[in-house]
Amino acid sequence: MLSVIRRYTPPTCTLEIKVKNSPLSRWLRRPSLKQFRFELRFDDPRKAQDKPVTISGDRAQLEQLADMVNTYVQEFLALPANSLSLTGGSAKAISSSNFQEISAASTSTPSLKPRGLVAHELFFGSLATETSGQVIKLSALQLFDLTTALDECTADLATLPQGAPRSAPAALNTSGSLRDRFATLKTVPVWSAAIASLLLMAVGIIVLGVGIIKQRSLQTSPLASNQEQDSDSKERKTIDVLPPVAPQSSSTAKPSLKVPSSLSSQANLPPPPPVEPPQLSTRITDKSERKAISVAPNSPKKTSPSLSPLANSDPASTKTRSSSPSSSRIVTKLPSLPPLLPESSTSLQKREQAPVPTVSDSLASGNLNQSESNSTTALNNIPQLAEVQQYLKQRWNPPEDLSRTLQYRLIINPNGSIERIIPLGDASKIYLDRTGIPLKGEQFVSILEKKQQLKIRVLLAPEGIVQTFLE
Amino acid sequence: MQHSINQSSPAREWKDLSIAQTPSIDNLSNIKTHLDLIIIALESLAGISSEAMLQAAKKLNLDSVIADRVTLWRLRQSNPQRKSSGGRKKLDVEEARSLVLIVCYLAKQHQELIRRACLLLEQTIQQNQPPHRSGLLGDYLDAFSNTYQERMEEAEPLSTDILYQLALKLLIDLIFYSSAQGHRRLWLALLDYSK
Repeated sequence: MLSVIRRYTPPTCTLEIKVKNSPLSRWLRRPSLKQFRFELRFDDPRKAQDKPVTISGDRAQLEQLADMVNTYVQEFLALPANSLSLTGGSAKAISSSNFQEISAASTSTPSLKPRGLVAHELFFGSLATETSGQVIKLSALQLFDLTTALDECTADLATLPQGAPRSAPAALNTSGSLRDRFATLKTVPVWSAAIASLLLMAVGIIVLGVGIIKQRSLQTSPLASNQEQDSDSKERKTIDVLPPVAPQSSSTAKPSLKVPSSLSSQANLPPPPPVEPPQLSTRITDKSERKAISVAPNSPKKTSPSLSPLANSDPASTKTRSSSPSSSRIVTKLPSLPPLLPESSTSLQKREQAPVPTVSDSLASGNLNQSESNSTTALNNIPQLAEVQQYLKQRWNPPEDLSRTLQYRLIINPNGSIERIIPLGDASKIYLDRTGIPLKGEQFVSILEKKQQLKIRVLLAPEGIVQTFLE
Repeated sequence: MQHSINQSSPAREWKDLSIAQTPSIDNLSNIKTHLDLIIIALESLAGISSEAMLQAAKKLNLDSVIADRVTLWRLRQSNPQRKSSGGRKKLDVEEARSLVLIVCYLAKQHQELIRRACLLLEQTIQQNQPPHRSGLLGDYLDAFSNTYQERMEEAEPLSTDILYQLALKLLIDLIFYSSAQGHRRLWLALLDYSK
């Protein structure tokens, strides 16, 4: 059964994101990453219709649709005023090179075409169904609403590895900003869900063991207690920076299962940090630097900001939603997916769950100041991951005006060359040539053991940190 | 509404407005012109004054770039199509970025009004009615035409139809610029105009 985990509701359409809610996912209190589906309903209240036109698809199709709409809107905005007539029926036809055209009804790629200044036609392509038809006419406002919903959804998805966001139902209310709703988003790669379940058993044993050790150390000397605190500090630091794969491969992973109690004190995560422009005050600079520190053990509260990831990559989106409530029907419920941090901190404190969510928060935010040795340790299982990481680390020179983490999906051929580079998000597209990622076809890593393609997610942070993960 | 707008991150939005390369001087003229027209459209529709723009600059921490009316006037005068009055003709990238953020901030504030105007436009077109017959649209079109003719140097006066066409295209553009990604869209559109 698919559960709705995100809903975007501008006035004339509704975009829902659904994922499968399996028993394991319910037990782990996070959604399964399988069967990501989107559903887009054109439910303009001005139009009398028994059933709104609805299309649906998977994540790739959603991203394709969003990309197409975004490109179309940008082309539309760049058009001179005299390119479009009011009604669309005049002789002033649009140059077909400016817009995506469909040559035949069998074209699978969705596309948009202008029909005057205030009308557009959206061809569904492969998304078309019998009930939806091949095409729908959209007014300017309907296109705007569609763009708004796709923008917000894309911004959420762009910060996540292959997987669905977890939601914080408690934070989902009509007055909450988009930023607050995503304040507790966590990300768990598909493979780590299975690892997490095994970890839970290990955690219980370790907790018992640590508890016993603590009791003994308290009985011995105060110095031992201090040492324990230090190791706790280190563990906290480790927790927040280890990628999800860490527990399997690192001996430090076990102690890292402890969760800083300070996290439980956080009721709401503050908005993402601003990034300093050249002429802004140092006040903002300091603020962004402080918030960029993910886990200093002596300032555990600072971890919270870093856990508020670039899931909301554009804070302006939160303003829009809350600043014009009358133009939005508002949003999301998502109650079947309880939040993990900070609302779920009690469960974390019980040490019943793996620190994976915390880790992946820091991961998703890209605001890590952890030394890379820990992450490298975690990557040793798959040599190509470390090779990619090392390769890009030497070449990644973040542009000064970059404020967000760039994400790319690399598809590696069995012979170690790049099959495809997929930039995720607009910023990634803009800065692709600055990343040092080699060209398609170039030998990149060593030959893969298994004769099948490898999908790697690469994160390039503005601080210069490079991370790689399997997809 | 105000509070949520104040929660914006001007620094982050500023960083969104990056350019891979600086447009040439000739191409910058197109940017200056288009930016000025967008502002005129917003002024004509929402009655936005210089004071509102300066207040927006302050809220967005851009008052170091646009501090007073004189500066704002000079930046507006940089539009080469303006009737020359000896004002400053330059508009650097920082100033253009600031104006983009201010315009989009104000568009967000007036999104309801812009949306209503767009809705009226859709309805009048659907009903085969001239847009200027609608109260809100009529006022907007008149204000835009008057301001344009008053401020722009044209070899020959533009016809009413052309001015209306321009005003209505800018109105539709404004609804997109009023969104969360509006500042990026406007910036990219300006860069497209510069090519």
